[in-house]
Amino acid sequence: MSTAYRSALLVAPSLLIFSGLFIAPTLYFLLVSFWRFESYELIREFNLGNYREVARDYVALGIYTLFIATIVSLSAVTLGFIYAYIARFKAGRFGSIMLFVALISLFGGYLMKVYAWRTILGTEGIINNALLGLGFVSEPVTWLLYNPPSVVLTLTNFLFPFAMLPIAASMRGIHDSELESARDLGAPFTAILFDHVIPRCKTGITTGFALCFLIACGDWVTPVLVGGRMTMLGNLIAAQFGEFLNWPLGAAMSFSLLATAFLVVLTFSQVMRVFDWR
Amino acid sequence: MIGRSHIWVGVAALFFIFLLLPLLLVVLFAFTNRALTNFPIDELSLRWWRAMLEHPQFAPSLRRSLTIGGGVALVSAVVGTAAAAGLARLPRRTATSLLAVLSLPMMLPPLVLAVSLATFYVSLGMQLNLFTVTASHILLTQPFVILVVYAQLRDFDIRILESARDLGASPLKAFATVTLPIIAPTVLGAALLAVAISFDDFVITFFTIGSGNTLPTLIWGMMRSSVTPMVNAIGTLILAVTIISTLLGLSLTRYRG
Amino acid sequence: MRYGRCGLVRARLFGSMDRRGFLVASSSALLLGAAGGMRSAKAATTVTLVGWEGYDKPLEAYLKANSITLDPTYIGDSNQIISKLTSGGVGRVDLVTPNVTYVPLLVKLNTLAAVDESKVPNLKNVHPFFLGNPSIRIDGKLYAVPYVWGGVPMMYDPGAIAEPQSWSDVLKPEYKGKVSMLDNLNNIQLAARVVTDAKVPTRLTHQQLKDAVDFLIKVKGQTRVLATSYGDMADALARGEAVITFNGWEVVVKKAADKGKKVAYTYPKEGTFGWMDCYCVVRDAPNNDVAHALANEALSEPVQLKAGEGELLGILNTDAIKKLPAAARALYPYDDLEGFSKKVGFFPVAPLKAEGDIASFDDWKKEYLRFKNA
Repeated sequence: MSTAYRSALLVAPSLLIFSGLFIAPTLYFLLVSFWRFESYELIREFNLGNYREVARDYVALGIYTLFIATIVSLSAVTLGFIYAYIARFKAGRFGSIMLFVALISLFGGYLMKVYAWRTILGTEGIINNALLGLGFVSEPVTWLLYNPPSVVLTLTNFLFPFAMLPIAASMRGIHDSELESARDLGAPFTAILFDHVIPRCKTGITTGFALCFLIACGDWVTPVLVGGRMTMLGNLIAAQFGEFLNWPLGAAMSFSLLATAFLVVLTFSQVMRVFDWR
Repeated sequence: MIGRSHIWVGVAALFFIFLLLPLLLVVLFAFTNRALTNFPIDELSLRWWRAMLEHPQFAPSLRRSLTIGGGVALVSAVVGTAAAAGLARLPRRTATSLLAVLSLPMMLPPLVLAVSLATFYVSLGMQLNLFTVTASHILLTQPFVILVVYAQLRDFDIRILESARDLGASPLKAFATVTLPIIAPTVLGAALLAVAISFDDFVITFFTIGSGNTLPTLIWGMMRSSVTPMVNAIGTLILAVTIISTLLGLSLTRYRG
Repeated sequence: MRYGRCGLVRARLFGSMDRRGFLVASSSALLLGAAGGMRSAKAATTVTLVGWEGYDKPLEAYLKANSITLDPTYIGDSNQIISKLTSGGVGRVDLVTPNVTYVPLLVKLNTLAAVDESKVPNLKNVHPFFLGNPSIRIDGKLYAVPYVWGGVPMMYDPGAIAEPQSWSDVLKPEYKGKVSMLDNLNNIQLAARVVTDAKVPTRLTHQQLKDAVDFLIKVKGQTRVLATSYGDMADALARGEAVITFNGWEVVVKKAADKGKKVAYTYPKEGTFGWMDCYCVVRDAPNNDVAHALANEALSEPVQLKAGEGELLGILNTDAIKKLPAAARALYPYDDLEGFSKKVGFFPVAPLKAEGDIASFDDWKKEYLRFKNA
């Protein structure tokens, strides 16, 4: 048995799962987006009606969703960069603990983190507790929760490890000596940052941004739980598979969102190229 | 004047608060004796843990979460290890690009993946149940397992295997007696990471389970209705399982990136 | 990244894995043990239900006595029942509790089983007014066992405001940010009562439908949060975050009282719509017999009394109604059901296909999406 043949055999189950549960459903879903639902019946006739509906009614919501996702991802990447920088260059032995803490929070408690922010920001939350206790306000402030900023804050908190870890990974490749020699030559901190550190972390930053952005733009749980009456496109997509039962429209919304999201990620990676010539 | 290094310590401390405070609060309020999740906590109590155990939906939901997690761990460990072994024999470039392809599902918003899977299952006439959830989770966890196991196999000293073969062991026997014992901790660790991902997942489960709850979908229902600190108790349990399996998984695999 | 790069070093280190291995093994054993222990305690039958939260509570004693485990998925909108059943739920779900107005639609979509009336003897104790509802019987076959009923009221905080008179009161500037509203498609019916002159608020022209949704969007502007369930609404009232609501449920009074808050309700002058939630057996239910038994038990005198007295639900077993304490009895117009019916009306959902200028249910959903998008 040749090595190539044996390799193929070993990888086959994985590829089978991948094609059966990813390629096939995605292609089918794309097909569904060109059909329509009428009186609870799936009509399998090719038409562009769903996409026309998305273009007519949901452009504003789509842009708003991408806008929120952009703010979230930029915040997460910025914070992640600072954190990774401290862990790599400033924290010494403590640095690996910092990374480990972030790595652990990567897998745990998606719903719990959203819920926790409700506990922190709500009218009976701990911030209001503190404000009342210290006598700064006489009745609870309501503007902390149930608005777009609380969604941004919550999502940034949740997505932080997704942004930080790729950046930390690319920072591993930078040697202390490189920065030291630049510093010895009298380069100011900003110059070191922009000429040495960021260009070397470009891949990490772009990967982190992409991961955050793609998760944030499809999120619907956070707006429901901490967004008040705020709606993101994800909420309407989810509703097409819940109370509204209109798969084709939901599919068309999904693919429109995906396409524009990839455009944003592509734009971001192009913008990151300004660091190339340095 | 404050030393520069103190500033970094301060910033790092702020980050730790930002990262860990929400989770600590969830855990803390699971032990309150009051009906609200706020301060002051008069007294620590197990009131809400008892309420959790008495909740008729708790045991079935936990059982489902464990069933799914177990199935996901088992299948993704076997399939993922096989794939990693296959990739390890390929040129590194080919292996890396195949790995990237297999990781694509992680690049899709979970919601889109979830609804497209649900649509697919239903259109095939399948019933949505624990099986469909498990299968969907495996799609997400197998790239992790492959990545971690492949990283070890790549650095595996092939000479040991060759000497085993020289001594007359069949490929399968050589794998079982030489490779497997060496990579077993890594495989086990990777399986535990898969458990962590599966146990915490809400979005995919919500759309592909059909009826019945797992722990995350159970607290989702509770959060949308009247909220009591029982949510914190169940949430703490989920956190404990995911964090402990991540910790064990990471220390077994020694994988750090 | 890795400890020993050489396989042999790794192999030697394997010995030190034992402690960790032990940890892993023991913790998984613990979890599996816990699950195993629960399996032995597992009841003989698990009945799957998709329906409104809280309806199972009066049945708890019965469930326990007969070792039936209920496996509920709670909804915030009867439309979710349709979605669940038509996307793979038939054959898996045993019982659903839709509003009676959805029953004809569910039957048309071939999701319900006809009820075997011989297995529901308690039907004979149901007040004839409710058995007379035309939507429970289709082609002579019974598809829905009525359970509880009510008319959608307006909730308010009597400690904060005077009794509201009109549904439009929610638009008053002083209530901005203090209005709670359940995110539910049937709000269109209520809005139609306020801003259109449609006789049947589920048979709206396209223009009337649009006007109703425009009104809802205005109400949405007055809210800070859309309630995701009636429990959520009760919480908002209890916390003082809301003082008046658009739509509501008599039971919210009880839910808020549990949190230490006095809440009242009223039927505003424009009228409202009535609902009657039923236990329906799903086609190909895995536990058809037990599902029937539960539907029957739900109509028994003790369960109905518990529902009426404990949960403040509107009940329909004539013997139980007679035994209700005065306070619970005063909540619902038990003595003048005909009059109540004239005032509030029980309307079937909008037609499945557009009839002339009358908007179809698909149109309703499309318009409600506009509300969600606003």
